[in-house]
Amino acid sequence: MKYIIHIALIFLSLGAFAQSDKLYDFDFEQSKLTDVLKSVHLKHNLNFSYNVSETNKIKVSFTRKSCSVETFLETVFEKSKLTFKKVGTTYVITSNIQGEPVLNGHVSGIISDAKTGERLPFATIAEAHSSMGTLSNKDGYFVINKFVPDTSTLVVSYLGFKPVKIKKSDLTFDKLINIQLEPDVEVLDEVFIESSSSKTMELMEVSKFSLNPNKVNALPSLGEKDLMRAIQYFPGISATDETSAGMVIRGASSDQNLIMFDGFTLYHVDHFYGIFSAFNSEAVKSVNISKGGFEPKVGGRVSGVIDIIGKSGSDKKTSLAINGNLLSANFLLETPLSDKLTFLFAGRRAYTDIIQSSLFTELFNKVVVSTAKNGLFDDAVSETLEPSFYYYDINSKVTYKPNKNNVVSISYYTGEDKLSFQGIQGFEAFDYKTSENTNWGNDGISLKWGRYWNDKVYSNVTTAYSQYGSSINYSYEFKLIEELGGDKFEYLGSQINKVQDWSLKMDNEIYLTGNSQLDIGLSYNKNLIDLESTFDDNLYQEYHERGSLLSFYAQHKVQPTEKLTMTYGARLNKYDKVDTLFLEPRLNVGYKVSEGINTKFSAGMFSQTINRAIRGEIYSSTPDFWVLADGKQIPIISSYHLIGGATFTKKEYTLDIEGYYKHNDGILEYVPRLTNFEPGNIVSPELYFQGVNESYGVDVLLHRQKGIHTGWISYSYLKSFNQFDELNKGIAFPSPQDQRHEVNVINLFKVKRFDLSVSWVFGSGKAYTEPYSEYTVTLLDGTKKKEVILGQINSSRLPVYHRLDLSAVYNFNIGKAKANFGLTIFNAYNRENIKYRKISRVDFNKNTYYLLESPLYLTSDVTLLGFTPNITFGIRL
Amino acid sequence: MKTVLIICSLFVFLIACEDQKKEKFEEELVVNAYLFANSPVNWIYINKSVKFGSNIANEPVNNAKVSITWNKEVFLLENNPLIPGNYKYNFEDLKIIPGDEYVIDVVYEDKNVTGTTTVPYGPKNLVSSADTIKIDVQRNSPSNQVLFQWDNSDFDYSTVVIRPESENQNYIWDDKFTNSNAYWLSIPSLSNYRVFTDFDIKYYGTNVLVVYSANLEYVNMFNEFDQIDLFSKNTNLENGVGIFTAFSTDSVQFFVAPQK
Repeated sequence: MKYIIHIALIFLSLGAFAQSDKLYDFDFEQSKLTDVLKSVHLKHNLNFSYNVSETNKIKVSFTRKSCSVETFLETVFEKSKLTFKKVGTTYVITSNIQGEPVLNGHVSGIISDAKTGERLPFATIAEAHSSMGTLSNKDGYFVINKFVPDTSTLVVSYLGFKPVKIKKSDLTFDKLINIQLEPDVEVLDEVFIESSSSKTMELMEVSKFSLNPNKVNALPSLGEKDLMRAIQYFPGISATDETSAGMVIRGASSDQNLIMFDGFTLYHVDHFYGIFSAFNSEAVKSVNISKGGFEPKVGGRVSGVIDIIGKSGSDKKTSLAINGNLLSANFLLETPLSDKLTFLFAGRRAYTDIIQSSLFTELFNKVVVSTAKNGLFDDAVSETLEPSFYYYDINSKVTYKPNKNNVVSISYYTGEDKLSFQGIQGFEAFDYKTSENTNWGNDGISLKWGRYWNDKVYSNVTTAYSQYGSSINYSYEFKLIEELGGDKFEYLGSQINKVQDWSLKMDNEIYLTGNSQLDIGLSYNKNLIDLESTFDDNLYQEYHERGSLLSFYAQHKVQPTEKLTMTYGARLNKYDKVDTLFLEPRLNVGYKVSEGINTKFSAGMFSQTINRAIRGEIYSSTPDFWVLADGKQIPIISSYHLIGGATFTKKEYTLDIEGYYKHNDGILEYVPRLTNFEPGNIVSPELYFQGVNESYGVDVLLHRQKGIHTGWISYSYLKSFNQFDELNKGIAFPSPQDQRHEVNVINLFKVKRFDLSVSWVFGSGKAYTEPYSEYTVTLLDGTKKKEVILGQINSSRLPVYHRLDLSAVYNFNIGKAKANFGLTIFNAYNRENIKYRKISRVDFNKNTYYLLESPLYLTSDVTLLGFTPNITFGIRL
Repeated sequence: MKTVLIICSLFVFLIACEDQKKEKFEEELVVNAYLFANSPVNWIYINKSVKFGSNIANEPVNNAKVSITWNKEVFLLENNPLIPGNYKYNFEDLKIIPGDEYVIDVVYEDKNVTGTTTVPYGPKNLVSSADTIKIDVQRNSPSNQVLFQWDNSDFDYSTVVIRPESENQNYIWDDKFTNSNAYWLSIPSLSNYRVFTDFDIKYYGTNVLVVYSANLEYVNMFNEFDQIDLFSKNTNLENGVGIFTAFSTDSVQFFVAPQK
């Protein structure tokens, strides 16, 4: 039944797309065109945009039944200088004179939030009735150099804000202007995402979209507003992992994505083993996602880019927000310290160490215990585990705007998870006790200076530091019963893992004539990685490596014609651990075929010098670690992308289709074989296999942007293969990320004070390696050793994944404060989805715990979250 | 727009159906073959793998054609009717000599399994720090230690086994937590000594400590005891599974008696 409902939802949405143009009756005799347009608007609810001084000059005589608006306008304008164009639902009437662009100065300005003074990055500044336009930069700054005479209104828009229209006559040329946008909080038909369907230059770029953090609340979640989980609902980004940080973009492992917060790079972006993302959405102003083919300005990773810009804090008034749910609470304070200085502080903490709700127990058992069972006795001990777990994060930002020309900000982030548990279990002959203390988290700080030098040049200098660290201390203790002597055997182990990232960047935007922009910049990045693990005070593994990357880029954005936009350029890298320079040329092209139809193409080369090694075991869940390329054992990943697609817009619907091909050379598979058992450097040649990954697929997004019922349906098709000369006889096999089909159906409703959402996620089975046979060999002492024969690597598939999530949020006022109360249900029909299929070895009799003569091998499914409700509340003063 | 949607829908439906390869169970031929320097060839076992999870014993293969090639000469082994799946060479012209290479060929039905190994040079001059070990079964902690040392100038991996000299010796311990069916076996290592406590000894009477120099194929197989990784090749055989390896040994005897 549930399938039928969802298929119906899909086709209902598709059906709405297929409405045909209507016919009308017209009857006018020597009437002023202005009056005619008003009359048609009132009678048929059609929208027109026109210059009254032009339309007043024209008299209209037109009588016809069952006639389309287009035919009517074409006939009326036949002998006039006017023409028309349909933009969205509006017929825009303009003069037919296609003169040369008027280069009578330029318009530059800063776009900001009228209520808080926050500068708005990547806002759209477009000329009405034409395809000319641009985006503001990260500091809200923009320049438009080229105007066409009769299209003289600027439309400035930004997600979640009311668009502003400014007539050319009201603009101040050759002077920095301030444009303030009002938040669009009361409007029902808010746009949740801004897809790449817009007519402006930047938004025609391939594989790029931005997300409105304020609207994430409307989506089902596990309680926390979760930006990363929201991103996963879009095509090309897998949502079936259930960890909000498992950001698999177009078949690439998550370490191939660059995730930046206010200019510093984050290496670990989740809390609670991936259940929640590390970002407090209250502190986030803008999220921009690129799924591939990104511009030369960005480098260091080969798959996707998630660029998060934190809020600066209001410069108008102090505001306070508090949100909570059954697991955690968060707090936001933003305040002006002076008319030039703003301050923001946001904190979030889980109280799971104080109150262990049933929700926490469910999550803990699913996420921690089931995946960590690895020891001989853990099945028994897991029932006695006494966990203490919590996470926190803090965002703080100070922004100083001494004048219009300068903006300086310091942004700081710290976040950590702390888990400790111990368990004890008595057996017939001994007691077994285990304990573990684990901490992991990120710190990051950036100092950024944005400088408006003059109307042609804008610069940004950013220096940043970030650190990801984890430490594990664990112990196992066996204590014989008193009758056997009561002796105690204790084993201690630890692992410390630290990745540091220093960077210095300078970005310059040079605004040339004719809506052409040259970006040039330089960046220096240094990574320091330290890993040490010990067992019983012996150094077991270690890795200490440093590497720095110097990059220079230049890119030219140009709009040679009204229909064509282009960004081309290159990035040149020098990595100190190899001798050669490597050049990465890139190209992005957008072409507007006709009103509502845009095509796009992208090609480019990318590289990555830092790599996360993942153990190839299927028997345990050991921590991953980062390694630096050395050009030998650890290669530099080099990649190229080819992407093409089209966007179709009609009324409130947008259909976006993209096909892509990605080729990655130098991917790494870490295999801890023999040397795993002896102390030594973790980078031994025999531990790594180098290979190639190829991924290709299609992403489809059908998006309804306006109305009481909004949402989208996304479909992703993906094939992703790895090939290693030394594995699988050199034959390519599906990569662990290979998932052929994924469908997301997201429905958002605004009913009076309620925000309701229903989302359904479907994914075809993920690839895994299936054991199919077993045998025993006899060792020298007569012990029977059991071996497993595995099938072709990743040639089997897990069962399909699907789940339904629901959420309802009630919005109300308490005095002047805005409040909300909500209920979210994750996996509403309690589907038992499988995370992975595990092989366990059983050495002891389950009931007696006596040693078996020969161990048994069993497969078991580690399942994902079942039915999980949560309650949320929030208040903003 | 309608056309675009129809094309997209058709595309989705067309690619949605794909053949899925399902791993089928096929019996693999399992070879468990050890050669010991300067000893007869008799530890050769051939059987078949079983379906994963069935946890039943391998089915012995008694009618395979098994041969060892040494010095370009082929020696045909015979099935031992007393032990299922066991093959041995009954003559003395097949010598197992340290440093020499040996090839095993097993032909059974349509399968032909081959493997190669080289006999390691082995430990020399094995000595013990004591001839007799006294054991107090009432004690709760080990009370006696014995040091065994040998020369390992070739830096071979070695593994150590302690076994009783004969089959009818008395088992020392009365518990269910040690495997009385197996002797004491050490983890392979590159060291040239081993310290034993009285708790490591399982039988009263004369015991033999044997140091085996082992090849990497044995060490790899042994170490996989604690993990399964997707990529390690857990056999040195072609077209089959299991192991074909060789050992050189040195041994020393010591006596185990109860503490009075």
